Amino acid sequence: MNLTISKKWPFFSWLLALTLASPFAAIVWQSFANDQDIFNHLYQTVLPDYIFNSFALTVAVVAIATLIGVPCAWLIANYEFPLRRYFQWALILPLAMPSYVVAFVYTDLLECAGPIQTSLRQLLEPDTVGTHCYFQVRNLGGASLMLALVLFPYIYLLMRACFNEQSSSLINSARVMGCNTWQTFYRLSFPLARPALAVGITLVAMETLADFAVVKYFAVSTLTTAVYDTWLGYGSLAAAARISAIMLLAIFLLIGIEKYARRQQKYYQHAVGQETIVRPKLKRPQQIITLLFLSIVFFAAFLFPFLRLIEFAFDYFSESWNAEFIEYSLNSLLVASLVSLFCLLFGLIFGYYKRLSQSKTREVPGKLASAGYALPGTVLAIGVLIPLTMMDSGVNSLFKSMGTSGPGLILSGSLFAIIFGYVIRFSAIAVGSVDASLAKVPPSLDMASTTMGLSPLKTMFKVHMPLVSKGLFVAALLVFIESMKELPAALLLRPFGFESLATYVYQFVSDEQLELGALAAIVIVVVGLIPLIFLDKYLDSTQPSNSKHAKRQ
Amino acid sequence: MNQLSVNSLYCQYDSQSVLKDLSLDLAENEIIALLGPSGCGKTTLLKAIAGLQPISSGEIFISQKQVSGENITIPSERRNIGMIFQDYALFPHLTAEENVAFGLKQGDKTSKAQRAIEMLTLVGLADFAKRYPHELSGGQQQRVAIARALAYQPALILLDEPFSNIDNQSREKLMPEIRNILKQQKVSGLLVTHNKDEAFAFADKIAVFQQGQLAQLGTAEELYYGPQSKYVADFIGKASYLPILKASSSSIETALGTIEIAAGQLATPETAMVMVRPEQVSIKADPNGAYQVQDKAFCGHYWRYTVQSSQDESGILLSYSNENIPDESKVSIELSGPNPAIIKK
Repeated sequence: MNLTISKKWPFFSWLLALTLASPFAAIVWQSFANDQDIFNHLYQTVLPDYIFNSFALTVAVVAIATLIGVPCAWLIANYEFPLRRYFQWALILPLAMPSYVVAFVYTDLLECAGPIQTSLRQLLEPDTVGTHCYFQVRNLGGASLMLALVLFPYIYLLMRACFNEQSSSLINSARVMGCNTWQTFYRLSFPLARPALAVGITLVAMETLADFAVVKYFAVSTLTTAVYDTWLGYGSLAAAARISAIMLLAIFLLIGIEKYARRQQKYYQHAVGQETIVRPKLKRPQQIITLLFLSIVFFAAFLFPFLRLIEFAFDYFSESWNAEFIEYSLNSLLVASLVSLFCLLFGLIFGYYKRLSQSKTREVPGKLASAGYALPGTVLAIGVLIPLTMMDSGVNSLFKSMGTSGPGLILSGSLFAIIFGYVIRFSAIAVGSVDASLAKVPPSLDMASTTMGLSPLKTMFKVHMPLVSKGLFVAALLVFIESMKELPAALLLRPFGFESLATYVYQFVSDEQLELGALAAIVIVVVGLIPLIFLDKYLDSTQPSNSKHAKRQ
Repeated sequence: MNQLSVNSLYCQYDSQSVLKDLSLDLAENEIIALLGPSGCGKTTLLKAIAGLQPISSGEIFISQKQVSGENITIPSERRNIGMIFQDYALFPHLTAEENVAFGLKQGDKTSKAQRAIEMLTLVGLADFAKRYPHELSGGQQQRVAIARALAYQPALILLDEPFSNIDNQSREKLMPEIRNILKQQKVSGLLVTHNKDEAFAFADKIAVFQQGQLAQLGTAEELYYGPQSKYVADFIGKASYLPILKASSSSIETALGTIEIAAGQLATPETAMVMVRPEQVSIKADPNGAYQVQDKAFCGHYWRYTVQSSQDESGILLSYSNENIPDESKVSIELSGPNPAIIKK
């Protein structure tokens, strides 16, 4: 089709895409800069430990999250038991919990001076008045457990969808060929689910690598905290960029492994027609074990921390409901709204370029712009700061050469930096949603509209917009929520004195005073629950109906 | 000796009964087709036999061994049956050879692989052993599924609409092929289908299902010319019906003449009618004929006519003829072939 809305559209798409991809270039370029004393110093002293910590943390979180997520998914997808439908969505809720909040709540409960260890001491050593510790929470193991508690739903969700999609005739044929339940699982279901597990593990590993708040709070030094400290502590953008480059390498490696593991996936999901899932009922003892297991997971990962937040918020309501809380909420609202707006706009620009252009490379700008999603918040911040500070200093020296004083840090020191950073990180969501929505509009509609004499722009507004508006709304909402939650990039990019809800809550966590920030944390959790409803609905719509009316004889 | 016995089986889905008092026996090396419209309970019966569907009451025996009954449910994996699914259910992560070897329990890797190749050779796919299911055509996948189900020598094989995803041309070739393999391997089979042509071509006997019950069991010919109900008559083929004008103990009278009936057969004008297949109705152009051509269509090796009685508006008959008789011609009718069936109203 030869439709063009504007001749400048391709140029603009590419310019925008390159701008959004600039942090990658900046990090690579800066990490080759000459000024590397600090990096070399770090490399000779602590960096190997940081790398090891990052690696160990990732492995541990992935292992724990798999051990929790896979059994949950298997039980819920394959068996019928009381409350199954509730657990099905309840187990997603931990995704909405900021990891640092969970970390705080458990530290509060389990640390040396916390209620558990105090009671233990009173019970075991009633005579001594000591502060003897039985176990430590704030270490690598503790951090792994905390992160796994909020990240396992990724694995649970993907595996559940995968187990649900496995055609029941496959399972039945394994059964009639003599496989019992356990053999069916390890000879058939699990090998078929391996690609989905690879995706889940990659997501968990990337989130773990990107985590800043938990490891900082637990004083476990990783690559993320190293990036943060080298910039804020040593003020060395070059060293921070070089550490960031190491993380980028790790992330590309992860994505490569995932792509490799998924190479045959399209052949694996091949259910024919609608099938009725008849989930076998669990027997009483199995039911009790199942319910116990799922309840513990849900309680530990969501219910307990959430109830503690409510308790804190209730007890400290008058102290927390203040001008600051309202101001920071509005800050978050403003930033998140602007970011969603820009992301949506950019998503549309890339989406239409891809749809209308004849160019072989028409998909590239959107892909380029989406790459930012893989950047951990701290790395992204460094990548954004490099070009912005350069531009700022350029502008200022220009002013200086003209004899007047410069305007200061107009880019790197203003809201521009944080919005630019968020747009880079989250435009992938918008690009993906716009693409998916537009793909559902058959090209014949464009042709029909054009033959009826409508200009491409009119076609866009009268034909496409009404059809894709729902997808666009969901995209904007997802970007909005992610922007509300994002922490590490905000910590590095925010202007002086600027707080968002996330940085505000995190401040209280690191000051060991979450009680006062609980109200703000609840807002973050509740807002974060919204996309989960969409996610669960979406995944449910892809699985065959299991309603009692569905029937096939 | 029966390879499979089902005795007064009841099955329910959500307190709605799907199978009602169903009994069926399958002899050694016999193939029975379960024929009926969708939703009549035939797949449910198959799943109940496989142990994939709980039963409400009744008994199922496989090779004289009870597998389902009151307080007895042998799990699927211990029933020693083979099953062919509508979507073949080949494991996508395994090659054709690995798929066929999947159900083999005895022997080491080499002997399993050997048996798998043997089976693939039987179905003519030895050259495709290393292919994955997605690299095979629908018919080839179907044959791998057959090889897989037969590899471990099951007591009987259950086929759930196995030909419904295959195009007509391949199906006509594949059906006799697979039937021959089953016969050659001396396996009893139960085929579920809603297509009467499939049932005719594949099975020794046909069990026609009606709302969870067995309407009639017999060979294709028995069902075609001697249906016991209008339901079976219509499901098995085209039919015309004639009212009984007068009945005596040895014959009945219809518009087409007198038909002898067996002694003791109850047939009164109120309770019964006569069914004739189009093949039994021969028509001849005849200016004095009592019928008139109302509609006709060319069907290849015959013409299909619908003729109407000039005395009775509801007297409509179907007939096949090799002759091309002009529209609206008068025709005379004669019955030929097997005796028309007398069925309950």
